[in-house]
Amino acid sequence: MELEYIMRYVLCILAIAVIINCVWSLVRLKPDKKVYALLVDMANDTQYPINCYETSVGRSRWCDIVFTNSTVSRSHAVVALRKDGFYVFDTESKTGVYVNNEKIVKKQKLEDGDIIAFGTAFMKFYIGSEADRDIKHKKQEKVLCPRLVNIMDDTEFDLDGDYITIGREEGSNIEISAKYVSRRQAEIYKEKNKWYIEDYGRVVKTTVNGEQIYSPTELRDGDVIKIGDFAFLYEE
Amino acid sequence: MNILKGKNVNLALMLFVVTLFEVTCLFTLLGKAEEQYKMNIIITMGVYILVQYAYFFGAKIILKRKSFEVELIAFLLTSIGLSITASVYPKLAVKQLIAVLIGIFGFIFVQWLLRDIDRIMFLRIPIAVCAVGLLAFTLVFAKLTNGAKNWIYIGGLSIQPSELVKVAFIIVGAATLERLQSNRSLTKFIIFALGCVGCLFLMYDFGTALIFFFTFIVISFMRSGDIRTLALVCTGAFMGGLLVLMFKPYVANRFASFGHVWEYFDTSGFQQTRTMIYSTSGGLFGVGLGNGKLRDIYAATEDLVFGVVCEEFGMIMAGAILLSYVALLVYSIRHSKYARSSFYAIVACAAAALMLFQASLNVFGVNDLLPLTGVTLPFISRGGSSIMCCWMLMALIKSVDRSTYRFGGVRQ
Amino acid sequence: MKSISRRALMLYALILLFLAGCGLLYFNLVTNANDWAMNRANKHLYSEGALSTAGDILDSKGNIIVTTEDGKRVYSDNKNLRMALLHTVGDTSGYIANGIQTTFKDELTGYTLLDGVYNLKRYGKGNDIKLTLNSKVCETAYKALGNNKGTVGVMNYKTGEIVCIASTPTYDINNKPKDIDTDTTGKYEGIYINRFFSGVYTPGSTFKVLTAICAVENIPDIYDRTFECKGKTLIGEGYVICSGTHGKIGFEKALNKSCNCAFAKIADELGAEKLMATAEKIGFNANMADISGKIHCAKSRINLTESSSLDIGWAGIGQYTTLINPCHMLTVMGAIANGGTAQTPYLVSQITSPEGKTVFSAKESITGEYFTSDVAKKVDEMLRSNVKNQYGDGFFPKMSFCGKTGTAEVSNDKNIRPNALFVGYSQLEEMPFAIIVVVEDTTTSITSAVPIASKVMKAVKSEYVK
Repeated sequence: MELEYIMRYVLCILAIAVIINCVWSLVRLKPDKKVYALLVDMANDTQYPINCYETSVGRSRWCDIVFTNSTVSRSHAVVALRKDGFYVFDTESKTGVYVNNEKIVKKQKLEDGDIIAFGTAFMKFYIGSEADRDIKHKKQEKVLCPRLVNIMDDTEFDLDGDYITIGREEGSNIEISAKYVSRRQAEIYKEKNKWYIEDYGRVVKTTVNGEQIYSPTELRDGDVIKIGDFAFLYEE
Repeated sequence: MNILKGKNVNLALMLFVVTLFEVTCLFTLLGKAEEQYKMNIIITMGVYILVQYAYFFGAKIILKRKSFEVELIAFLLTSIGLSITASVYPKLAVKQLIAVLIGIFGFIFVQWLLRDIDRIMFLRIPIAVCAVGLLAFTLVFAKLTNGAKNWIYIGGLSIQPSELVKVAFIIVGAATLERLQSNRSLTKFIIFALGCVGCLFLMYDFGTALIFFFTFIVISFMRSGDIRTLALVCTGAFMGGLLVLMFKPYVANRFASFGHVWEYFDTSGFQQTRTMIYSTSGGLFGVGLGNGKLRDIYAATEDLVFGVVCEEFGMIMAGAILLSYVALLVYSIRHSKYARSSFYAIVACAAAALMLFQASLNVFGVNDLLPLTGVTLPFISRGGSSIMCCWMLMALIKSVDRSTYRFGGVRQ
Repeated sequence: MKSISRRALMLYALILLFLAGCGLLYFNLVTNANDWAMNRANKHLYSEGALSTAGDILDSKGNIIVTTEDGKRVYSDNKNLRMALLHTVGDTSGYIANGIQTTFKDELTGYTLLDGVYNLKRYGKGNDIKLTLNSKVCETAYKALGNNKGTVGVMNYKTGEIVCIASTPTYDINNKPKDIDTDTTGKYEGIYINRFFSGVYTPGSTFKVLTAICAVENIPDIYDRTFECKGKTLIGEGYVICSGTHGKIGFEKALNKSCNCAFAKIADELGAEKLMATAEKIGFNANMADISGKIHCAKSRINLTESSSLDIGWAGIGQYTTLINPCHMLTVMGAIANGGTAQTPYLVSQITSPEGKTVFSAKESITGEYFTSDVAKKVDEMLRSNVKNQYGDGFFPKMSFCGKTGTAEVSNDKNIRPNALFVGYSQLEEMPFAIIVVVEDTTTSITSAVPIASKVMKAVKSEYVK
């Protein structure tokens, strides 16, 4: 009888010890944040770390990564980490998702360094942590003069003269062979140490940051020049 | 890679304490049991303890898991329920043990099933069809027992399909983020939920119907965040409920004593008042396993089991049990952002919320803070289907923790 | 995932609700623990609706009044004692509300919030309760009351111990009359009530003691006054009738003779305010502290605000709407005897746990200083003169007894007989006991109440004075 009397307390204390320990641990512990990948905005170098397995991208404030760009749908896409790597899903966006300049249907596997375009928001996709990113970045910063970067293949075109033509015509400084590009599509020139762009396109118009230009427009660091499916990043 | 900040519980120590608890229960049970049932009890508790060790061994050594809090809680709660069953119905102890073992197997199976997100997303439609089919089958073939038509009998075994459907319901309701973003409409899920809840209503299993409805609300909210639609659904359900009460007054009669059970002391308030009387009789530390008197009341080990725990183990332990349900939900919520997919986040939160809701229906029901609906207390109540369901829900909760599965991360 | 996890945060509301519910649940369980656990349906404590396992109840000498044997409550063998103590000890089925077995049920069963009813499992019984009662005196009081309805109470005015309570009608708990709930003749009227604690009576002339106190406090020359008694006297718009024609009479003599005319005039002169002030100072219109913390007493009442002079006159001689509770009145008498200090009456002297530990031990306490020792002394002298000069010391030999009788008319109907009351106490140092006797539906106090008081006090003397 005496044993049972004490056993009641013991039993209670044992159970509570386990429960309290587990409960405390469950309530207290939280998974640490971890960056799985990075999206770098090619227009202005903003870094968007991807620290969830599924990351929504869009204009809505409910998205994990918010772009204010008007060509981005409210919920545009999802970047998801699956068993065999990263995927990007087009979640019925209006302007589509492009990976390396190809429009994706529903989903597309991502590789390190891929360029993803959400509408006209161009992103460079890096797998891994931020530290890796910085090293790559520094390499690029060595060049000092302004340049145009072809977003598709990362080839750079240094603006070392003061007059550059873009068009289908042979002999243009930047030659684009697509049919819809006019022979003389656009001109970029330097005036008082600033670079201006002027559009001469007939079939497709040249846009800067998604906006059509009607008169010579000054270029600023990070502007994206787009001609049809071709895009260039202006860097200083 | 240490996923969690801070340290997890020490598995070896906790396992030792849990074992100590179970062994103490075993000896207490043996001290009270009749000679012919002693073997039953030894087998039940013995096998249970062995399985528990086997599980933790497998998870720690083979799967190299780090966190075991969820399982420890599940094992402890199950052992409390098992002890009560073995004490009140020593004859049925082995049967209950088998259900527990199936439950643990289900726990492992569901974890495996959820491993591959594409597979489980693909399986949702067949699961949905099976779930509704099972409920419809029950509706047609079940016999009326205790005023509800929710049991089917297959060769001497009785199963409550609605318990298994709970798990299916949650899986069907959840989805990955890209699916949620591309298809915001809840229509399909609403139709599915309506089918399930409708079947349960026709079975007169209102408690379970309420749980399904609640789970539906939680899942829908997690999916869409659309408060307006949900408010509409709730109002509709409320009106529907009122209509049922108006046209089937005997349904209302079931809840007539709610709020003043002491006035219906020997009639419709019988179970509640006895639960309260014996709960307080136990005091903070209880009168000891096997010394209770509430066990003689009808459905003591199912609906009134909270009272039995209070009386025999004491109010403090009962409180700790309630706390553990809360902790599971907190765990799910805190991990939801870092889950491997929104599917797991929704599944875990819904499962934990379901358990908490069911626990509150049971506990507050027998203590007259809510109407008595006759649902079980997760893990503690006797009943095979119920315990299986609880273990499978645990798998859903466990899936929210990204450390549960070892693959899928980025190689570093 | 942000959207999902933000929505998941809403579930904290559910958790809060749940925790609030748990809080309420535990609040209910803890605050109602005693009530609920002591419920008659609790098979730990009750079998077939009667308390089956509980500690013993003992009298002040340690004699067992009730005990538990084989899961049954066993009462004393002495039938008279069972009858005498019925109301105090109470039953186990809850008919008698103020009985020890009802009010002290958690102590008797040893219920504690910590261990629940486990002590019963452990020891097979709960705590023992020792009362201040003396069985012999109680039995004598019950026998003296005989077939009358009424009550007797005796307390030690120095300590507050209640040594005797008897209340009739009563029944034998081992042999409860079958017609008790069906009877219509009225012989069992109020049988479940302990009249000593729960009864209220019209005080009749015993109230003159209070009027006298008020007079001593407020009229400096009261001893020099004389009053004219012609059998009746005009107060306001009507007459107050006296029991006799006392002619010219002084203050002390008026109390001896219980002259209505004199006291009605005094009351009229004092006025409602002063009478009320004195009465309320000594505990009228206020609930007494529950006896031993658990037994509830009825309230003594007086209300003279808006009363006419005539009514105040009647009130001064204890008629009108004034009501007294026997236990309260006894406390007041004790205060007079004790130099103005009212001791708090108590009934439970000790509670002992099954392991033999003393769980509770009564402490003497003072209810209040009811009046100055000077006033107490003056009234004490007059009350002594009542017994010495009016009722005769023969009733209370060698007790130096003080007292006041009262005959309370309870109805204008001549066929309904009055209640007889007696309040008194002994001045002896070795016998500090006060008594109240109420006999319902009888002739005069001197023929009914005083002889009962006499018998009881003689028993007290033989028990307590060696």
